[in-house]
Amino acid sequence: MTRAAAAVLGLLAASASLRAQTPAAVETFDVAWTVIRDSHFDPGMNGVDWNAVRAELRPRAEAAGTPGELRAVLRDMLGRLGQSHFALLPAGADAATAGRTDLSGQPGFDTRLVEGQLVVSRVARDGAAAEAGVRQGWIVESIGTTAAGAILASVDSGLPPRLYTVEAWKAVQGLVRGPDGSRVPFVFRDGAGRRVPLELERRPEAGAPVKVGNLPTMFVRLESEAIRTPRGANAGVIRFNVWMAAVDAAFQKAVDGLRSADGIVLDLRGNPGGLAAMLMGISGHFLTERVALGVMKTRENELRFTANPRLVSAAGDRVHPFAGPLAILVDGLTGSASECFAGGMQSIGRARIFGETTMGQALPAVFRKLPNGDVLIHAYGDFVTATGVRLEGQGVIPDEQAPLSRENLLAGRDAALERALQWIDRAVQKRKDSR
Amino acid sequence: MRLFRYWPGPAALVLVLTAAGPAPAQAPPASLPDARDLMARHVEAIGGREAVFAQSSTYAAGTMSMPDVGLSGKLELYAAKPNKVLMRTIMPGIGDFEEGFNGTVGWSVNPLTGPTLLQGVQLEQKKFDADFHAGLKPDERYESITTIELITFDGRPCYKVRLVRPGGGEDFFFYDAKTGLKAGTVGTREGPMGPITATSVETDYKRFGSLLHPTKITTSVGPQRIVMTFETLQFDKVDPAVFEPPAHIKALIK
Repeated sequence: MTRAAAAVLGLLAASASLRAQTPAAVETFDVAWTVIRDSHFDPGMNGVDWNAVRAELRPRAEAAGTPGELRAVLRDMLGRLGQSHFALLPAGADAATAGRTDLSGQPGFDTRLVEGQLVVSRVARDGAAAEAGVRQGWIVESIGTTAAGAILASVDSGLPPRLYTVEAWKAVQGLVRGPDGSRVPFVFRDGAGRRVPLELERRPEAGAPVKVGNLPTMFVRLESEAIRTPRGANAGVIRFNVWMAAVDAAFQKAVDGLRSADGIVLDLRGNPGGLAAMLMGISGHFLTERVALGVMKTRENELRFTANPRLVSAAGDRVHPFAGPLAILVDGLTGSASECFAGGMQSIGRARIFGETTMGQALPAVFRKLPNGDVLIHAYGDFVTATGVRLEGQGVIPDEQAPLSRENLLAGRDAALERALQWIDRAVQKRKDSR
Repeated sequence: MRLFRYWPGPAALVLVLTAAGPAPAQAPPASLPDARDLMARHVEAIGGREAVFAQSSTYAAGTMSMPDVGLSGKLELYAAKPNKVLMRTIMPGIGDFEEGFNGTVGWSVNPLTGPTLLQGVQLEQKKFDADFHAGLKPDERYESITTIELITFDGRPCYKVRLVRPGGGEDFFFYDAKTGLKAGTVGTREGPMGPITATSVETDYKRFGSLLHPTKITTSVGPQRIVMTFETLQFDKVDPAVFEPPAHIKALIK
């Protein structure tokens, strides 16, 4: 996971765990500093004088009077690397999160930064927002007492657009989410330009709860559907929200149900990543050979993410991996393992990518529990696609750009999906022509 | 009796970390003990060749944890002569993992990569590592066995033995200079992601019947760490049917 991707996963979690704090400030600082020194994939520490960082920040850690102050020092240290996947998961509340640790409820809609405004990009079918009549394409003018302008002003305007998008989303989620059952007032602007004030209830997140080790609980969702392309071909759409092992069985069933489709669209928009090892299993549904999607370069070695062709159905029958056209949809909130998958499949020519450039935060990472109880997420590998493209800091660049527009959202159109379906049509026609 | 060894799969590679590798070498003594004597001394220390050879199967149960990740799950290991093994792990939040070899077929099934039929080098390695009485016949298994130094391994003086596998590749075994018990291994194996070098430290030997067995094996791969802890160890009670490949693997064999 990347830092932003880790943060996104954190926001997707129901609630942060609360445990007693052990001060151990200097010990905690030393462990975090040493772990990164010893495991960073680049012995040159991305050009940062790591010893100087220690000399500068260790006294501040020593002087930290509260867990929050210590975390600020640690985050400062992690930030010096200027790379993704270096993050801290607090074991308990600190000043920065006090009162906002319970993010288990949400009103049932998502947002994106579209044409400089916060816009509703998706409305959950059964959520409070849908019941209240919220529609995609509506502008979010305020959340609680905070105006949209103030939310965006809180985001560092000096960030690259790629990261600004992520940070804006996080800022919105920090206000939208809250305790299950609580209510939050919004002001929207609808498609006709009318001001729409609504108070929405935050409800439990849909999906199967999954708790993996020190990570907070996540809710895993996978949907699939069969749809028609513009020219009447049969296509399948599969979307899931996070790379957790619980996805595997549902994904297998979804593919089984779409084996006769003319093409499959895999929607990874908003998917921040998860367990990178799953790349090998999921890619195997679309590859007949053990092809490497990319390589994780660590300090000691290089590990290949090699597809494991999936030759058995959920029912135990022998099958062939899906060989038809595969389109992958991505956006600015597609991160980490999702990027490695999309970039890897693109690099071997197995998929065509549609949408918007991804997060560019694609460093495989692991965890380390620190003496104060917090969990350090730290990158120990660098992912490079099969064609040698490094995704960190760049992201996956779609073959066909299809940015969100408010006009399309209001009209109920999905430009990225439409382009993907058109491409499937062309592929089907090409296949017919070649016969 | 097969001494359990764990080569981390993809889940571990993505989820764990922390190394406890050998410390810098100490000054070598004037002469080093013969490697075969060290291996024989270990067999004697755990109960003797006859007692080891008398066992035809083992079942071990306990936990597998990845402490840095905060993961802990149930672990079951089955082994039987001549070369059958099965390891089942249930990791909360991730799922069920199974790796096995029935003397002919090697496999792994897990929710990260799906069912896999081992082939080529991976299958050969599995066969090699599955040898139930591996510790009793080093000369049959390795082309050369040499004691190379006395070093500090896991914080204690240990003899380091280099074993060259047929066809190349090396394993390193470490024997506690004081007790004679095996302290750990370092080896490289081909996994689904490529070659992986792992360091295993074997500690907390306890007596089960007439044999001593390490009840804690800590395996490190780079910054990742996996700890296997055994609470139960039984001999000669394994049902051979347990080594049957699961249905999804049988479908791959067709």
